[in-house]
Amino acid sequence: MWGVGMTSTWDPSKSKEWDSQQPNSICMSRMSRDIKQLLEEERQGDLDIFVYPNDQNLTKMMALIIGPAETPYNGGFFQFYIRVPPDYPITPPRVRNLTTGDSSVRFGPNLYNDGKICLSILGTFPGPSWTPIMNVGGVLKSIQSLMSSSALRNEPSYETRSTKDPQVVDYDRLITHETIRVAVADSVRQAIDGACTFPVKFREIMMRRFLRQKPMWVKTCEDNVHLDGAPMNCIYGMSRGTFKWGTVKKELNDLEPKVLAALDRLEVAKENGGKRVVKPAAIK
Amino acid sequence: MDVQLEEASGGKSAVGYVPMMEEPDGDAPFLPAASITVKKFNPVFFWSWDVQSDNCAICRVMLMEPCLNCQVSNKTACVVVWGECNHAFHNCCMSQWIKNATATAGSKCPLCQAEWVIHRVGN
Repeated sequence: MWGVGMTSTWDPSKSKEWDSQQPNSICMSRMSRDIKQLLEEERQGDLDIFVYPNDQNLTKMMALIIGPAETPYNGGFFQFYIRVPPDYPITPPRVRNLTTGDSSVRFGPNLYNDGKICLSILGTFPGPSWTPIMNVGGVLKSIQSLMSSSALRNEPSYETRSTKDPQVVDYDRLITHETIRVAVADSVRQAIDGACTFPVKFREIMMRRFLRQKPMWVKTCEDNVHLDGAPMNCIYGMSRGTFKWGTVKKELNDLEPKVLAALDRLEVAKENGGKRVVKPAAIK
Repeated sequence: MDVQLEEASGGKSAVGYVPMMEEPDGDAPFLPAASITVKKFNPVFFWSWDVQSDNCAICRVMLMEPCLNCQVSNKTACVVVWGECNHAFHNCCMSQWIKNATATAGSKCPLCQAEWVIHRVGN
């Protein structure tokens, strides 16, 4: 669906040229190390980065990065598809942002609406490039650090702008709106649906977080509702429509009972699934 | 040494048991102290980062062991390469990186980004 057969220098979903090569042994062992380390860091739980490795193929994985607090991305659920090359770590991984509102939302100067991430270590941006001592965890942390306040200052010619610059402030408000509308409401709506392709692990994290953080997002909507109907302008001249804080707030309220029900279903499914796994061992 | 001492203290004849360690070199001349005057003293220091980097930062395998590709293909002649920055990697891993890096950004040490100049290759 992402242009089958095409290749691209950044897009993991258009990396056909990697399919024909068997990953070498350094690649495989480095990836199992990287994954082990990521899962360990995840268990310690202070990074808000979660990974879902592909058991069949160590070179592919999904990641969920939660937007850092005190930024316009606060609590947003951003999913990524990561693929490492057959000669990893000699050449860098490729990463695609999957949370783009169907390629309609540019979440920042470095987070394009087509899923491309401009990051020097990925080779998609000028600056310090990839070196083989880096790993997937480092890439994910760098992506998380792109989710900062005064996000517009990540744009090369805006780096020196004040944090109080009206354009910088307006851009953060726009990102806040889109984060709640797309990275929260849309993501959670998809996570509720049992048929969605998100890993159950991510669905559960998203729904539990949603219940915890919903009051905060609702308050943000209420604080900004006077801006409804105003156009969401940005320096990139994209047509982004208008602010709809009221609609987003209603969406959040509608989602809450559905999340509770979906979590119950997930619990039941887990218990049943658990029994199936436990029984043979108990007989022994 | 312990065995020798025990035997010596055990009443056996210690003749011929001059411990090798204590034997003077014989070649070293013993000069009277007064015959030398130090006029100039130029100390030369060698330094290195005191880091416990036993692993190759590229493949994360111990430097004492062959790199993974060599392990898989049963090659044991995998050597270690030191740069002038004193960072060490498996030669196999490093040459792969250099081959790739010269095509793009130029050959730099992956750890410190200094220009990669080979200082030593060996074990």
